[in-house]
Amino acid sequence: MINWFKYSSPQTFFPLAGEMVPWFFALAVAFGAAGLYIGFFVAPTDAQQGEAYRIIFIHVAAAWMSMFLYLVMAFWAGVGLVFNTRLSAMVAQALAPTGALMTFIALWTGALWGKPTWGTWWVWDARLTSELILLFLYLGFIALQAAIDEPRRADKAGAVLALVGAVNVPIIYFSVKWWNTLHQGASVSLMAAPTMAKTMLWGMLMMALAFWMYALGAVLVRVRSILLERERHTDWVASYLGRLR
Amino acid sequence: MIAIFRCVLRRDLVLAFRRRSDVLTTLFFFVIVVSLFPLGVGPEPELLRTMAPGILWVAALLASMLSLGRLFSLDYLDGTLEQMLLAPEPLPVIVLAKAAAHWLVSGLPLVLMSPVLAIQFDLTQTLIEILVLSLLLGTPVLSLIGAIGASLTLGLRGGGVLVSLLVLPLYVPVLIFGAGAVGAESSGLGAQSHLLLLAAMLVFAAVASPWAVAAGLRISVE
Amino acid sequence: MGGYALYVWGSYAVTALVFALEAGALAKRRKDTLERLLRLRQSGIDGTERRDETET
Repeated sequence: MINWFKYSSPQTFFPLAGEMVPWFFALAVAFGAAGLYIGFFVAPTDAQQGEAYRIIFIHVAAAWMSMFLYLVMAFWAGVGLVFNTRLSAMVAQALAPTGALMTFIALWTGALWGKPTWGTWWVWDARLTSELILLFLYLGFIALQAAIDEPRRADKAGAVLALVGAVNVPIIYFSVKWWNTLHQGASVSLMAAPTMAKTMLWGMLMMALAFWMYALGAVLVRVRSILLERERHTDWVASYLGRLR
Repeated sequence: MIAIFRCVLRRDLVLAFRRRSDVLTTLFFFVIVVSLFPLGVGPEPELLRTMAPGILWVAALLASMLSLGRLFSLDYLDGTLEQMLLAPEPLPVIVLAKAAAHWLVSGLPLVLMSPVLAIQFDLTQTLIEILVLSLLLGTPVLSLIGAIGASLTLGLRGGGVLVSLLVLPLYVPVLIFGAGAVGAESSGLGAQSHLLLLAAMLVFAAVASPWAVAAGLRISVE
Repeated sequence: MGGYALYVWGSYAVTALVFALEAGALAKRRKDTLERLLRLRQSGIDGTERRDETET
């Protein structure tokens, strides 16, 4: 049995995270290369959407990650709140900016995909609208933590907000969905393509893995900076800084 | 528990009554925002009729958010809030009473005012009834959700702007079904399902949000 | 890209740009943090004035 709790202490987590970062970035590059290869060279041109559908490989990956990272963030924030562990709160704090960027990418690529396929940059589709609100939730979380000077209070207040947001995300999604169907009748479905080609699915999967690995690497780098900042008065940071000399 | 609920409710209402200008400010804000919209989008009755529920609802959202700052900050500054946290009575009940008082002071006047404003937008009588009913069910949810934001931003600099960033995204479902109820009625679908969903949200918010607010207050005050 | 080059490359370019900017910001943050902490250590302050995180 590996003692997992060993890694929940900042002191042991910090060097472990440092060792894992290059691996995650390497995996991100590998998966990304595979995804791009499938996306641009293997996958055939779509009969209905032409070449424009190739945006889907990053769009779907970013959209998946944006929602997944919010749930992960809410989970770690909740763990930090319940068990009063500093590290999990710091992980939640480190996840937020990357999640917000994923949300931004999903919105941006969605707009660029919508213009040639739907003829408009933006529709008030359930997915697009909930993605926009998800971005607001991320920004609210970041803004709240930035406004609180005392780190422990920022952790806990952010955790309550993240959990309230996580409860709300499905409610928001379904209410927007219902509102949308009422307003626009049968609106354009995001998955209009009849049957997704297997190669397309593989491309999407590869890109999603690449984004995931990138997010892991980025979050670990950020959490290491946060750890150094917040644990600066401890002995292990002092000895780490001493070794840098 | 009933006793403490009543006690806090009465206290907050008395305090609000002594500072009547605050209540009136919120109400006037609501009226002014609603009256500005026709000036912005033009006076065509047909357009205004379709936009009316949305305008009234967005204005109600902003107005109820405007008064969130007062929900806990005065008690926080004079130390009453700390006594409430130390009290043996369950904190969520106290919070629920405060949210109820906030709604009675800042939500209910808007609901009572809305028919007059709806007439400006040439809504029919049935639509006005639906609108009032949707506001009656929806505005308490706004107070309950807003209390979460107010508790988390307690005592922060720039808390007023911050609270809007935190709370407005969470208001989305209420806005959709509140304004949607009137739209559904006028398009012949019937508002019943919207109103039932609003009622469900009210029940859920009344049960769940006091706990989140209590957690937020303990974090902010400790 | 069959007439869709602007949209396709616009998406991929912005995505790459966002990742590059984030990576750059992360590297800069790490560098700044380390520099600041080393400076604090040298001047003997080393941030001990705030011991508010004693719990584990």
